[in-house]
Amino acid sequence: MARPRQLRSADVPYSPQRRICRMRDAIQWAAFSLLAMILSMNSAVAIDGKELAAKGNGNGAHPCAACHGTQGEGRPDAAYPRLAGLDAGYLLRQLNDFANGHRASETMHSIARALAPDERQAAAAFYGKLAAPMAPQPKKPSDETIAKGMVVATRGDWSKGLPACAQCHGPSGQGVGASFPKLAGQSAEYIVKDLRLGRKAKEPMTRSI
Amino acid sequence: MNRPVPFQTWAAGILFLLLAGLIGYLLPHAGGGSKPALPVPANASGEKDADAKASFVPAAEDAIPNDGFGEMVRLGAAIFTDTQKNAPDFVGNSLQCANCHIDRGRLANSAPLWAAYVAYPAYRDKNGHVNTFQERLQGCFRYSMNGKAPPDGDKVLVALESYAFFLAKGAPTGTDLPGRGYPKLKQPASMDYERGHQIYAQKCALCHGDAGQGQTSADGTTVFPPVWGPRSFNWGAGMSSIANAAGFIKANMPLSQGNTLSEQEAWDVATYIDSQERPQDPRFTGSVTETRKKYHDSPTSMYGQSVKGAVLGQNSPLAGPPAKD
Repeated sequence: MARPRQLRSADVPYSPQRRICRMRDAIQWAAFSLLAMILSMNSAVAIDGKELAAKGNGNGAHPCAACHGTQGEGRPDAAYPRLAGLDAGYLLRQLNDFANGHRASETMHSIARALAPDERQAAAAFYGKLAAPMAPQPKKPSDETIAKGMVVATRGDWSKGLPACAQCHGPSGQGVGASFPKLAGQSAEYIVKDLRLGRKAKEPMTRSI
Repeated sequence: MNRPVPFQTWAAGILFLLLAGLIGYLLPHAGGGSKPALPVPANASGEKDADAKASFVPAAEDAIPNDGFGEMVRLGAAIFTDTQKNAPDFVGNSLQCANCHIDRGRLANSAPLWAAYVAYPAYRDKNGHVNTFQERLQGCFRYSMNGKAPPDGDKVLVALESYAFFLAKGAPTGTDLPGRGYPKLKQPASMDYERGHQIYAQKCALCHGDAGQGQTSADGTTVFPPVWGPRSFNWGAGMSSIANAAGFIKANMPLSQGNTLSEQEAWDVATYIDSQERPQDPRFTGSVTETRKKYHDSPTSMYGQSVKGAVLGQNSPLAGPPAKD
């Protein structure tokens, strides 16, 4: 004996039952569409850079503020650099370079990779707009150190082929565009660490310092 | 006496003569009027130049005296480093002297001031008469700075001359010192605009911009100078000659990476840069053809030549500082 097959709306001539079946279909379609809309809406909404900085993205990227300070001022004692007020294009490029290994950093490599491209942009844009006071330096440099530093910063040492930092980073270290970051207000510890890394890697810029 | 001289006597005699000779050889000989030696660089090991000749080392900036003269020298150094701020009346573009005279006019092979100072007064083909050092400086403002020549004896000129004099201390006058000007490169068989374009994009645009416009920091300060366009040197400037630009670039560019480009690359990129438009030659007669004939009649000048469908000099912005509102 043939198993009774399931009743389909098409089997039933126009009737209250057919209307209910059609309504069910319609409601199902509507529900799916709404869900699809909501899902796609979610990714089109702009990522909040401030949220990202404070909370991370819950996907492997820790809150930036944990190391870079609640105001992006950095943590000089750990040589974590200041981010506030640096050029957004520069910051984005650093995140991309950390992610693809072009710039070496074990810490930042995994964090940058965990950030989606639009998250990186949001974070960079957020910090680019921040104005933050300079973080207190752990040790106050001597007058002699500052004087020597000023010579290198403003005149360089051309007997070694070393240009003044100011020639690329601006007369007051304010930075130029996305390639030459702001140095003024950056922690000395971080600058020293980066210069040393550069010298080891035989970066053309830092080989003479 | 008929006895032969004993052996001991011979030996003593020869020994004595040898000793006398040795003493004579070791005695310092009186020199005739020897030329004063040029100061030797303090750290010759730092010399990047393969040239074995010692090059003149200018006086250190902290040797500027603390008196009236020293004040003028400091003013000259300030004008040289930040011409925009310290000689604004005479500047018509976005350049600083130190952009093309690297290390504040101290660096050999970057047209250092100390080598120029001792070479003047001199006859110049450029204007067909003997120029004093101050007149030479006036030319810098008129052409390279696309501005106005400061009048004779102006404080700006006195300051710059004082600074140059200070840097040149001890250098022999009337001498063509090693490191003067830019290196003179041998003109190659071909000077290629397209190759130059590629080199520019790879090595120069990062600082000087895709359109040669230079680069400013966010607060508007020009940090990397424009190398063509309305805010760069004008057609009368020495740098608009491909030969000069090639020499400068070869020895000094990219900044801090001098002597990394080949000579051919330097010529090519100089060709590219000097084939772009820039402010008019202040000596413009009203006709590009005539101006070329009078002042730019050379294979190393693109003035008056057609490049990419346009004649250079035909559409140049006016020479000189923009009109004040």
